[in-house]
Amino acid sequence: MAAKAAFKKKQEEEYDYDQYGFYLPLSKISMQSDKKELKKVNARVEKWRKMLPNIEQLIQTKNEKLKTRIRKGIPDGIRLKVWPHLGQIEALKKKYINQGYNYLIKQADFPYETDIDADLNRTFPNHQLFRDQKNTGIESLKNVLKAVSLTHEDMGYCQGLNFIAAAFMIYINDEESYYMIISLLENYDCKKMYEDVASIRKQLFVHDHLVKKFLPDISEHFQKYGIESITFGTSWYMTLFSSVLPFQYFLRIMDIFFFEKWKIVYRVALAMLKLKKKRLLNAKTFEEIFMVLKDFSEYENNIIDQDKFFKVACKDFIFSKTLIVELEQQFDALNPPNENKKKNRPLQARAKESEKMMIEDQQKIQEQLQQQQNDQQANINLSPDENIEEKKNQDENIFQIQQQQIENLAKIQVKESNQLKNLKQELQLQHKPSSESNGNLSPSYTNENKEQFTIPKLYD
Amino acid sequence: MNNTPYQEQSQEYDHLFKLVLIGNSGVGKSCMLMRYAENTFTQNFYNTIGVDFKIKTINLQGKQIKLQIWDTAGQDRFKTITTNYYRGAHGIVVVYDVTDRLSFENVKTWMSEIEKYAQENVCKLLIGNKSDLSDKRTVSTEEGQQLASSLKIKFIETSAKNSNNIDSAFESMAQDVLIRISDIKTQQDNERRRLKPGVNVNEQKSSSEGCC
Repeated sequence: MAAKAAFKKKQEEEYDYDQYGFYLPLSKISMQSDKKELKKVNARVEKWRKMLPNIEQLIQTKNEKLKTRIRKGIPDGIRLKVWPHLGQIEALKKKYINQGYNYLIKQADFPYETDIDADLNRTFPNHQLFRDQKNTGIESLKNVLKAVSLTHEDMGYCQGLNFIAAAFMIYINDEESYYMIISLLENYDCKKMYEDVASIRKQLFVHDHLVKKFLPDISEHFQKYGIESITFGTSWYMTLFSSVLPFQYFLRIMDIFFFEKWKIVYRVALAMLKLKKKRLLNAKTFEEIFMVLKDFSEYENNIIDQDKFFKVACKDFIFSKTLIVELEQQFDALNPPNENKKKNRPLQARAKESEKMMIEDQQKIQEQLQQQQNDQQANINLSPDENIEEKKNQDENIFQIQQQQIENLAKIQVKESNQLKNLKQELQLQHKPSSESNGNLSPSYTNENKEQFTIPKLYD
Repeated sequence: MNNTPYQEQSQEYDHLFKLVLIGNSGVGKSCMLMRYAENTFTQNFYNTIGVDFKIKTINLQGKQIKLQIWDTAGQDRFKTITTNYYRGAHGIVVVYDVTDRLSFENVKTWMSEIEKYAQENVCKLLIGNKSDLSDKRTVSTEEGQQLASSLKIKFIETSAKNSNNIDSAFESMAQDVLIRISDIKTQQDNERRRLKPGVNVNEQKSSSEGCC
């Protein structure tokens, strides 16, 4: 027992901060003092220095050499100079000149404060910036997330953004981090997955198809054991791997992402699966497979070589951008936009909208009825020498069509009215203080809301 | 938990129960699960994005029961993902934080989500977590009890930090599921018998009322 305790103590002593400030066991800290490695990096720095004066142009023309060098990883010191160009930060600074970062963080009230506060202590608590409340990093993180949520108030704050913000903050200052996130949201199509979490299904749909295409045995294995990408992939995609892979991977993924956009995200996911392939296929239960998927120790312990990883990611899965677009279109065709999007917005807004829609439809019904009455009136006033028979037939047809339209509208209205009722009840449920209600859920409410789907049998 | 049925190959247990933890963000769902499944408490953890799960096998009435406990993101907008996991659950645990009034007031919203998405007779349990923070408490034990009884579900207060009541909470839930499964099995047996010609139709039928 004593030996065990001593061993534990010894283990604790072997922790230290790594080069980026993460508090890690010594064994997991990569030792980059390898002379050969250093020489290689220095040679790279030289090449980058030569490219820097023309960087804007190289980015604009999607230069192949730049692409290759980015894929090898932008050297640490250079990265700080290149990222703002890649992310088009200057343009964003101009766009938000009247309500820049320093203006935003001074705002007294902001709607997502509770949500943000809840995550501050749960974002890289193993990093020296965010280790405890006293550290300035926590306050800075709050500021960055606050500024982001205020810039895109319709999106607000969504979990996942906290890891991306903090990851940037480890590397660059608060304001730069803020602009990098705004760039991801606006220039890199990231906003929709935070605004409407359900939309992550689209990325995962693409992911699933790519796994099927490039790693068919894993795809089959997953299908056999009921492994769905939404269960393990949500955090991968929504934190752009910052919450799952070691920090250096995040830096290199961002390097490539800023240049090549979403392709690299899918490729990293594919590489992760490919490099776990043997272990995944050997796992023969649902739980075992998940344990393998959730285990990143081979990255933390540097068993997987970083350069090799990115080589696999960039070279082994060759697909065109068109394929992604096609798959996305396929997804859209299978999942027409529905109520889901609306569900994410605050209930008050939804209730208001439903009410507005109802009033509009009511007006439409009124108008149609009025039109019908006018038509009938016109019918009576017909002059006798007109072809009454023909006119009558025509009118009957129009009348039937109108009748149908009115019926449809009425149906829609009933549906809308029910939706509104539900929303209002939901609102009441959310906001009624418990002491005022008897705590019983109204049965009519629950029945109306019961969604229709077939329930798989549990107890076979 | 999944739409596709999968085959368990190594059946080293008598039953597999799927439980789901839900409740507002930050009430301590992940910490409770960590305490229960791994008997550790750490403030060093990441907020859950989407869903996650842990496994714990326990012995109940001489039966090996494997608990597959699902942890869910508490932020409202993640419901579009997390509610999918209610449907396959045998039991759902609604957690609030006794120091966070809003999380308590939201219990009803979570209950209505269960009504919407879970199986009709799914076992339910209400947990008030962080009972160790007595000086910060804003929801009394009595209030918790009152709410639970008005919802007709069981109630317990826990502390993932000092591990108070954590084991008993999950075990009580497992117990309830076990009872319910036995009820259903008896009922199914009876129904099967009823369908066979020549078998007494008036055989005793066990209650199929929800267990919790």
